[in-house]
Amino acid sequence: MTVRIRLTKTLKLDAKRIAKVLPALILGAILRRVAKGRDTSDRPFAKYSSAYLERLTEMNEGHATDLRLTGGLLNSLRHLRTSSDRDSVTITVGPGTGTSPQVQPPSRRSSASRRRRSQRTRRRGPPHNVLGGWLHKGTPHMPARPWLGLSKGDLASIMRQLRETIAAVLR
Amino acid sequence: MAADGTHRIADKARRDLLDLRRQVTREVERLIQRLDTERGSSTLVRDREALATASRVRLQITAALNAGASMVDTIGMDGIDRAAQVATRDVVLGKGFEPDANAIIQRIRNGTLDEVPAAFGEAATRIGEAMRAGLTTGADLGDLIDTVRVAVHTSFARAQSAVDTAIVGTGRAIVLDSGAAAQRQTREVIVYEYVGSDDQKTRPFCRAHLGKAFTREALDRLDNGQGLRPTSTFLGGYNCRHSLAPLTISEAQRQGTQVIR
Repeated sequence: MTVRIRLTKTLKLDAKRIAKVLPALILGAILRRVAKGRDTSDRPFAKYSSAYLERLTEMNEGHATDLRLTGGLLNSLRHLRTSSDRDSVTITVGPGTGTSPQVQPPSRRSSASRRRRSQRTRRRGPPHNVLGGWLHKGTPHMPARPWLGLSKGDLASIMRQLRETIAAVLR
Repeated sequence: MAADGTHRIADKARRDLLDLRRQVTREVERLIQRLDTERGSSTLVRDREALATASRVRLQITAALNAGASMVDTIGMDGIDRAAQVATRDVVLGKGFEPDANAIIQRIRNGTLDEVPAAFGEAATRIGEAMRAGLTTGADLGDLIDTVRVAVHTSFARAQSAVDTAIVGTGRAIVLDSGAAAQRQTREVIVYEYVGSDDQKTRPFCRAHLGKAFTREALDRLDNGQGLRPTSTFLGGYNCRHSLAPLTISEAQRQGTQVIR
C-alpha cells in the first residue's frame, strides 16, 4: 500500500522529517481500524462464514471479524520504504513475507484442558503478504475484506495528528 | 528490506528446525532400538548389563538432544542476528530504522531464545525418567519410544514457539521504532494503543491492558509474568496475538482512550 502526500509549497518544513513521523501514524491507523472490524471504507468487514465461526468456537476464539487468529499477519505489518523529493513523500507499508503456524480446532480425542485451545498442524500458513492479499481482494470462496489502505476516517485522524505534530515542531 | 529479510530468515530457521527434529527423533529411536538389539528382547530388564547399556544410551540421548538444542539455538540466534544486520544496514541507508534497532533485536535474542536450550534440557530429563521407570518396571520398548517421540515433539514445539515469539517481537520492535522515529521529530508524545482480540483465550494481562494507550516506558514497567522483557516487545508473552498501534497522545485523548504514562 502506498500513501502519497503532497505538501504545499508554502509550508516550510523538511519533507524528510514528515516522512519520519508518518509511518507510525499510518500503521497505527490501520491497526486500530482493523481491530474495530472496519474496512477501508469504514464499513464493518463482511462476516465470517458460519463454518469458520464454528471452527473459531471450537478453538475458543472470539467471533469478531478482526482478521486476527495467531496475530502473525497484523504483527508483520510494517513500514517498508520511504521515498521523497522536494514536495512529496511516498511511504509504503505492508505485511512481511513470513508465515505463521497453521492452527486447527483440537481433535475430539484431546483431553478436556487441550480441547479448550487450538492446536498446531505442524504446517505453516501462507506468507503474510499473500494472506493479506487474499483477505483484501477476496477469493472465489471468500468475500473481500479490504483492510490494507487508509479510510477517510484514517486519513482524517492522520492529518489531525500530523497538524498537531507540525504545530508542536513550530511551537 | 529488513522486514522481509527477517521473515525469510525465520522461515529458513523453521525449516531447519523441522529437519533437525526429524534427525534427532531418528537418532534417539536408533539409540533406543540398540537396547532391543543388544538385549535381544522387546522388554527392558533390570540387570547389571541392561543398566549399563541403558545408562550409556541415556547419556547418548541426552548428548543428542543437547546437540539439537545448541543447533536450534544457533539457528534462532543466527536468524535474529542476520535480521539485525539487515536492519542496521537500513539505518546506514537512512531508510527509517533507528540506530537502537540493533540493540532492541539483541535484547529479543537474549530474552526469548534462552528458552530453547531449557526446552531440550527438560526433554532429556523426561526421557531419562522414562528410561529409569522402564528399567524398574520392565516396560515395553514401544512405550519408551512413544515417550521419547512425545518429549522430542514437545521440545520442538516449545522451541518453535520461542522462535515464533522472537520473530513477532521483532515485528513489534520495528513498529516501536517507527514510533520512536516519529517521537524524535516532534514534541508530541507518541503512545501505543494495545489492540487485538478479546475472547476466552485472552490472557488476564492482555485483557487488563486492551484498549488503553501507553508510553513505551509505561509498557516496559509492566510485568507479563512470563519473564519475557521488554514488555513493549512481547506484550502478553509467548504466542501473544496482540499488537501496538502508535498514535499521538492528543489523538488518544481526543478518542477517549485511557492514556498511561
